[in-house]
Amino acid sequence: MKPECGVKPMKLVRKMLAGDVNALSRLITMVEDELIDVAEVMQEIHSRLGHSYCIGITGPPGVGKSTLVEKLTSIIRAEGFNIGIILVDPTSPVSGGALLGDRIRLQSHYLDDEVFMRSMASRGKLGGLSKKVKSVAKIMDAFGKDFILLETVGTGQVETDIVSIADTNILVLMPHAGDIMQAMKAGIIELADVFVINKADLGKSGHLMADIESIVSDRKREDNWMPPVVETQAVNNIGIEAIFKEIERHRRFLKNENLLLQSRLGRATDEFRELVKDEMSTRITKLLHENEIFRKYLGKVETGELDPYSAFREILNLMPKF
Amino acid sequence: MATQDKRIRVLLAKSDQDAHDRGVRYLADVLQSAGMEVIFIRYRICDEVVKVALQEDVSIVGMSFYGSGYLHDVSAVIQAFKKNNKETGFIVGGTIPKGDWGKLKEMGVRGIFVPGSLTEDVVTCITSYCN
Repeated sequence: MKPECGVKPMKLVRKMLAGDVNALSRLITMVEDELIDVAEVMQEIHSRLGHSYCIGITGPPGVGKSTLVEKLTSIIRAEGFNIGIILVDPTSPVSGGALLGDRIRLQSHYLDDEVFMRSMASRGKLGGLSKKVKSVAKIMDAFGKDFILLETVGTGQVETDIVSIADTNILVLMPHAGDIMQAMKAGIIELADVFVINKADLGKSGHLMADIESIVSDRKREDNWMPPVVETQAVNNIGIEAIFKEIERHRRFLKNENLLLQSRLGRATDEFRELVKDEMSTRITKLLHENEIFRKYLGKVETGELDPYSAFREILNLMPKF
Repeated sequence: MATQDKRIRVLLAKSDQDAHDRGVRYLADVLQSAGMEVIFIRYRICDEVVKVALQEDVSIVGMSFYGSGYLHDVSAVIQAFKKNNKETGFIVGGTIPKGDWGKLKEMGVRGIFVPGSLTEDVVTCITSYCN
């Protein structure tokens, strides 16, 4: 990569906070590639966070997520808000490369100065979202975006990462894509705040709608929110306003019930736990490879002198107690 | 902090008015297989290419042409990058007559790839620029 031409990281942060779009995009790369101390950047921007409302859009591949993002962007822009968009596509497990193709659907917004889009590759992170997406969403928040739209990779049943970032989670489904058992076993279905049945013109969307409504009404949520189901035809621009209305209704609900701050603080706690866990795991992996005592026990297991659990307990006794 | 996790990011662009995208789509796949992150767009006007490249912070912009117009488009995009003080590598592909190669190189194009060119050469051109 080209050198940074002497730009100091915190200078870049200040330029971004002052509204420099090129500094914003450069900073995102530096965070994504870890060319910078990410923790320091996050600390620096923390006081500027909390303005953006983040909408997550997830669902199986080919269901129309990018097209929905494009139409939803038009509506949010027409309301006078500015937007940051994060589009995540999968990284090839073979080559490590990625074809970031969501953006091609958003051509109508390329020249709008109030729309900032960034394509990201999942870079091997399970759960449908890149590990860095959370940080990028924060940077866009600090930059001053009113809304952040976050489109995940095409997801199956267990990719629930999005819940750890978005304020309102939208699950997009379509008719003729498997029976209701598929939806019932999905972890994500329990976490969606708004259901969208796209490509409703394919027919039988009424069946899917009834099935989802019955699942939703059978499962009472802790927060008492009853997730609505909206039928759309994204390519024909039908039903998109209804989605935005439901997003706004959910947002008002969270505010009125005092849940918005509460769930954001909950997510911050989860993030803290994850950070500590990640760092501990990195350090312990290093210890296992480099530390003499660890290597001694490793050797004892390798030669059969000790069984794995005895070695494990002895190591545990050596660990500092908090 | 964790180790660096750098990837080469490439933008491939082709005009909306040019349907001959088999080559550029093939190249997108080749570059992806070479471990790069590739963004492919269509554009109506050159400003769109510039804006997308700046937002995506790519290291390389590749433009594909079947018809004429490449001298205008490539020049417009490179000029806009200079104006934004943004250092980016440019490559051009498609049916580019040999007589115009010199003009494109003068503008700052690092590689010109035509029917018969090897994809390995495209990959080498990009990686040698980025490293």
